[in-house]
Amino acid sequence: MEMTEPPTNILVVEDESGFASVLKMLLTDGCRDRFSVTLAETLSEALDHLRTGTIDVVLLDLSLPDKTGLETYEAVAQAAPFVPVVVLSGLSDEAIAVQAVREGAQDYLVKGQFEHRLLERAIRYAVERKRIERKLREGEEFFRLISENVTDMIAVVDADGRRIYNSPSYCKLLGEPSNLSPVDSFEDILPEDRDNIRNVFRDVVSTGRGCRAEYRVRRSDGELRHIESQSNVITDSSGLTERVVLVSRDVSARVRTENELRQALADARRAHEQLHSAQQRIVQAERLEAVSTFAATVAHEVKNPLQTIVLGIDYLGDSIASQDENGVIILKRMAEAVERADAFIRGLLEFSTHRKRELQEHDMGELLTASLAAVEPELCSGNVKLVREFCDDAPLLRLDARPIKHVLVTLLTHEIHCMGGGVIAVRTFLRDGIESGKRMLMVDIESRPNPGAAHDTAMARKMDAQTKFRLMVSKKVLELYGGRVDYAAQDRVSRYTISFNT
Amino acid sequence: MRKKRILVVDDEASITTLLQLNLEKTGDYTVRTANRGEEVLPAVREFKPDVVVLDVMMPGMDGGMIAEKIQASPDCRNVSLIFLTAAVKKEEIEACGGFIGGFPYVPKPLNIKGVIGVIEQQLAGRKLG
Repeated sequence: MEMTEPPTNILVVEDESGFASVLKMLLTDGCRDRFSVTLAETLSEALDHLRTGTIDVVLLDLSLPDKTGLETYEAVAQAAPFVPVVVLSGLSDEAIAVQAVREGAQDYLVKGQFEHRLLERAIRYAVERKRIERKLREGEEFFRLISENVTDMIAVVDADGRRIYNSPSYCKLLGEPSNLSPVDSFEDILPEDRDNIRNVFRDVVSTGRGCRAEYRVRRSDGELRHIESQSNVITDSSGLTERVVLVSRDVSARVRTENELRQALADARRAHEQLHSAQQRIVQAERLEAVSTFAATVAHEVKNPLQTIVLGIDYLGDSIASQDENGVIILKRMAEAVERADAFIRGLLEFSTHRKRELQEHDMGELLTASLAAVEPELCSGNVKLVREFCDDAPLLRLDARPIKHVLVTLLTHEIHCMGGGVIAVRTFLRDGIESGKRMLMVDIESRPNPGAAHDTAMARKMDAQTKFRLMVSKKVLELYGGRVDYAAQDRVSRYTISFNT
Repeated sequence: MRKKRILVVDDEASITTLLQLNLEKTGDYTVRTANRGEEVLPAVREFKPDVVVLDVMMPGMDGGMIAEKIQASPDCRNVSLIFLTAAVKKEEIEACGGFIGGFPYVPKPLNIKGVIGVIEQQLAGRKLG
């Protein structure tokens, strides 16, 4: 069974009954039951019919017995704002009909100048336009409801960035939207971010592709807020960007949390590195402590036997001296052996002892002077003449004086014992280093035995292993302070060359 | 004048024996020896030495503790102490018990002349009875 649409209910408001009848006939006979017509001769009567809510469209004569002109239309429009009105005008009041259309009437027809097809079309178009208007109005109302109740901020700007609309949610951020500049919607953005956002906006407008961007805004109370915006474009019929819709939200809390997390991560990394370094230092200190303890134990276990030998030599010395010259020599050699062993153990302990370095600025000339003073008795008893030549322009070196003096005393003592008399020359001078601009401080200890001196070759051979060990220990100590030592011997002349980076 | 009384204490018997032999050979000293910490205080009370030559690093009761006990004993306060040690540094000595202050320490190995020199220095500092 074919479904038919219900007839459109038309209210004809016309005080000329003859014309009204003609209209009714045109609509009911000519339009084959598509319309049902109700007649009203006065405005009051028309309003009564409109209050029933059953009228779909009004054909309205503006000149009625109880109202004339534009006021007639206004009264009808107020009574039934959603019912389309087609004004029927005479030739003389066409201007008023035009004014009524401007005010919301859908159309007007001049009496005597239309036939039933025009009338039907005018009514159909009026109904359709009113329906579209209603849909548009509902859409706007829906959009307003959403924009006024959502916490996100919604803004619409034109292709040049001029404000068209800001949702009420902007109040919290920028104050009353009506107070915002209509010209430039970018002026609220922090100057440091403004140029970048302008460029992003230009890209959106030119490409028609929306994107997400972040920027900062200074609130009316001075507080800085981080804003994240998603843009979308509205294009015109030719596809060009006409408007841009921006949905934004305040992400300051998220940015703050991200920064705090970033800082916490950096702090955790730093703490981890510090802990790792501390662990490394503890491990190293424990290793050094173990070495130091081991060395001290070794020293104790060697020094006690050495003490026994020394006391034995002391006891036997007097009795053997009177009986056996060779015995005297043997005892003397034993005493020297004890001395060498003791020096070895002292060097070992000095090298391995874990103590805190006391770094200070020192003059190498003063350290050498103190070391030479410490071996003065040996110089005298060994019949060794001292020559010293120290340069005046040597820079101060950052050293721990104690181990450096120990190295110098050890080297000097060894040389004095080996020489059997002669000259020891101690010199300091500056030399250009391999790296340009760097200079090195050189300390030269040259031992030249007297030509006729009874150089103890046997002792010298035994000293070789001692010399090597002494050099090794001295090297290790000097390396801690950026120095090095080299040894050379030729034609009974030996030389220690110590160098320091300045 | 009586001979000076020296008590020699060291866990190494060879050292105590040789020190005793060397000191008594001079004719100036009467020497008694002890090799364990526990023997010292009774020996000091009985022998009443003028000087105690004391090894620092001994197993069990170390030299520092022994010295403290001697100093704390009312009838031993007049005794002079000399510390013998195989350690190199004073801070290592002080780490053993902590009572070294005021008394000389002699690093091993030292010949008998050196030991006698230190003994006489200590005795010079007090009047013998």
